[in-house]
Amino acid sequence: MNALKTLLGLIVLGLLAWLLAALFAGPAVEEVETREFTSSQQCRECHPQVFAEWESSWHARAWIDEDVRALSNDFANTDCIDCHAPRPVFETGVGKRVLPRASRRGEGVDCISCHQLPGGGVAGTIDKPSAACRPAATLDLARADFCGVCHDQHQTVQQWKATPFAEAGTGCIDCHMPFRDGDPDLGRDHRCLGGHDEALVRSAVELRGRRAGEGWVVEVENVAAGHHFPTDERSRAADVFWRPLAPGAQEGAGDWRFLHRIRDPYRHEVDLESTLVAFGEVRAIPLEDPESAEGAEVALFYRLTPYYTDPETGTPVHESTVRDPRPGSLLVHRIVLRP
Amino acid sequence: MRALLVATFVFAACREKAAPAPEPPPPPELEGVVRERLAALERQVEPVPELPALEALDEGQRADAEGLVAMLSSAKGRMREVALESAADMGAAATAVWSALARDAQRPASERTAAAELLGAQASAAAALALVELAETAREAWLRSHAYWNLGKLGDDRVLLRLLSRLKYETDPEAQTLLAEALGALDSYAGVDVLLEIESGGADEGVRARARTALAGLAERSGEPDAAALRALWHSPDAGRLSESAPSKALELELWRRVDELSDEHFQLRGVDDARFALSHLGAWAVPHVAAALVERDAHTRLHAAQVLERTGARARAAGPALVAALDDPELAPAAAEALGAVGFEEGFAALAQRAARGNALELRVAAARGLGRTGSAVARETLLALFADAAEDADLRRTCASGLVHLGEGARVARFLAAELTGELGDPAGAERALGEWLERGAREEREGFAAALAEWRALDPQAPGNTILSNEAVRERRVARAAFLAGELEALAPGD
Repeated sequence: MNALKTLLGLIVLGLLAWLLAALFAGPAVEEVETREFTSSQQCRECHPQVFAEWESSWHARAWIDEDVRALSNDFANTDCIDCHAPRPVFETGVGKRVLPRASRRGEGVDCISCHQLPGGGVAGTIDKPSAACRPAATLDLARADFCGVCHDQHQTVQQWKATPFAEAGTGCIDCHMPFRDGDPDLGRDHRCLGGHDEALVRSAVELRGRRAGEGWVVEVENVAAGHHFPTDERSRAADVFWRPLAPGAQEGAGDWRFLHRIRDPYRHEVDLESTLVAFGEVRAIPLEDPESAEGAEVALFYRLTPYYTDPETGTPVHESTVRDPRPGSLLVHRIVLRP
Repeated sequence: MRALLVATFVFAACREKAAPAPEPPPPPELEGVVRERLAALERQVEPVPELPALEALDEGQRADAEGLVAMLSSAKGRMREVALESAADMGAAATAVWSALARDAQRPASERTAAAELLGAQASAAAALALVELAETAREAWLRSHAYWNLGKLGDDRVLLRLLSRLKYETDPEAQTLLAEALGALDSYAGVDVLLEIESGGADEGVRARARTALAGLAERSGEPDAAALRALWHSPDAGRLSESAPSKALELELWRRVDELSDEHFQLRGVDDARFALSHLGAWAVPHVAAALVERDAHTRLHAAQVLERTGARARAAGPALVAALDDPELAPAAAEALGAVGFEEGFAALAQRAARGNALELRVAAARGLGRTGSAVARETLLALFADAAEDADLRRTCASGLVHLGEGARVARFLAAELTGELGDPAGAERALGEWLERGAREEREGFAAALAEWRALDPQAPGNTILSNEAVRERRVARAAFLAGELEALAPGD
């Protein structure tokens, strides 16, 4: 009988303990597992450096940048949304076409777009299930096809695949997301530098010239871009201009004269051909104007928007009529040709 | 002791019952809709044989076809008619010769025009395809114009979707006019918008007059009193009244081929963009077809089909029930919610309000709020006001509600929030600026006190880059700071008490 009482007492105590645990413990563990990341701002707390880099990047400006707003007619051209506010790449699939999202569009191409995994957790470089975001080491993050969901829409990854960089295993992130200070332990730079970075643009091409008869041949060589120069956007252009050089002068005088445009036209520009310079290609451009015989100053300008406008009236003008390409352009390289 | 045990079990039983959340409704059953439809239509539509290669033609065939071109380009009166009548009797060899000749930039313009005209007179499916290819690839606007004109005359609706795509890319006003007329000849009034644009802002009076004539012709054809009435009907749920003839099976096949291009097997967005554009410019007859794709197994296709309906707008209202059902498909729900708002399906607004409520995924809530913001309904107003008023709500959801409320005529309630967003570091200052501009424009239009002057000042604060120039981001930031400062002094009068 005593044994039975003891047993019953133990059962009651056990049930009471279970009851108290049920009352006060709550479903905390389950909440952590089902946490929904609703903003990349949530990543800042644990990853301030990465967040700051991303925040200063053009990925972060993908939705709010003025060029994008203007060129997409304030996103009335809804086709642009797919890449400028994409759903998580791992949700739609690496190598698959990206899809647009409805929320958080102001954050553009953000932490969630690139790192969120389906069903929770994030793609990272380590496995750490105890961390709030539950990172899982994911090699796909480093694949060119990962960036390609958006950037191959204009064939950039295809261009890269045709270069020796692809064969050597040098991918997008090696140039555009290098290790901080070159140290793998410091992680990768999330500014994702590209066409907006002057140093990177300058390092991509060389400009030179040589005598050819009474005139010159100007050469533009794509020496380091692991894809065409320029690439990705039809809104990008690189223009070669020149102006005569007086004997003994260090720079040319008078108006600039248009020589050559490097650009991939928009779909509606059916009368234009793509003149992008592939990696390793040397574009030879004859300069035969008699006024260049005494020497010429030649410059390569890079533009984020391809169209020039008349400074007086603001109306669009053809590049061949431009007399001063400098406003709105980056001077990439300048050379002086002397006989 | 017994009482304690019973109480323990009763508590445990009650707790078990309270724990589970309500089961979400099952998602709609998915099918291989596209493959099925394509297979059925391909059985019904005879394929158009490919044109023979020029090298495969004998001298006689070439000479006959070229001779007719020479004759037509130099003949007048009855001889022209004879040449055109002869075209109908000539076969695929002639089609191939004329197609190549029309595209050959080395040939005189008169011969290229004549070749296009002969293709139009030949009235075969192969000639129609050759002409539409000419319209897509010719660099010369005058030649594209000829292609459009001949396609309109030919009246083969299998080229309709390709012509609709041209609305996206054609930039020459005269060619646009002929394109709109060709579309009209195929029972599509998708070109009315561009004609109205040319008529009101064309480069010269000749071009404007030509557009005016085309508009009058389309209005007459449609039975509407004028172009404005035609445009209103085209963009309304009653657009189905405009269709005069049933689409051919060949056109239905083309439609489903475009739907197929939305699938995840197609990587390039370019093709998807074109398909979305062309499909969303079709008439009301196409809506049930596109709506059927909302249960396609391929998730990309489903989502883009919803986008097509969204972009079709009120003309796609008949897709409302299918879109409401799609709200139960977790992958499709956000796109369906936005589409429901855009098509204006009133019976679906309550379902939208439900999806905007707490307990749903943020993505769906924001999409539902955006959808509601595009309607003019009382349900939308109440829902968005309540969500916006809750400061604990997600910031992005409140932003979406604010923009929607401006559209619903409640701008005064959200103007302060939007003005603060103008200079905020986070969020969407560009979206806030657009919404505030819309609020001021609406107030000025409704002649509310102080709005006209405020709008004028708002506009004056824009350095307004002329032509195609784009302001720098720095200049835009400065503009927003100036506009926020201006509004700070005006809001007390424009939005009192809120």
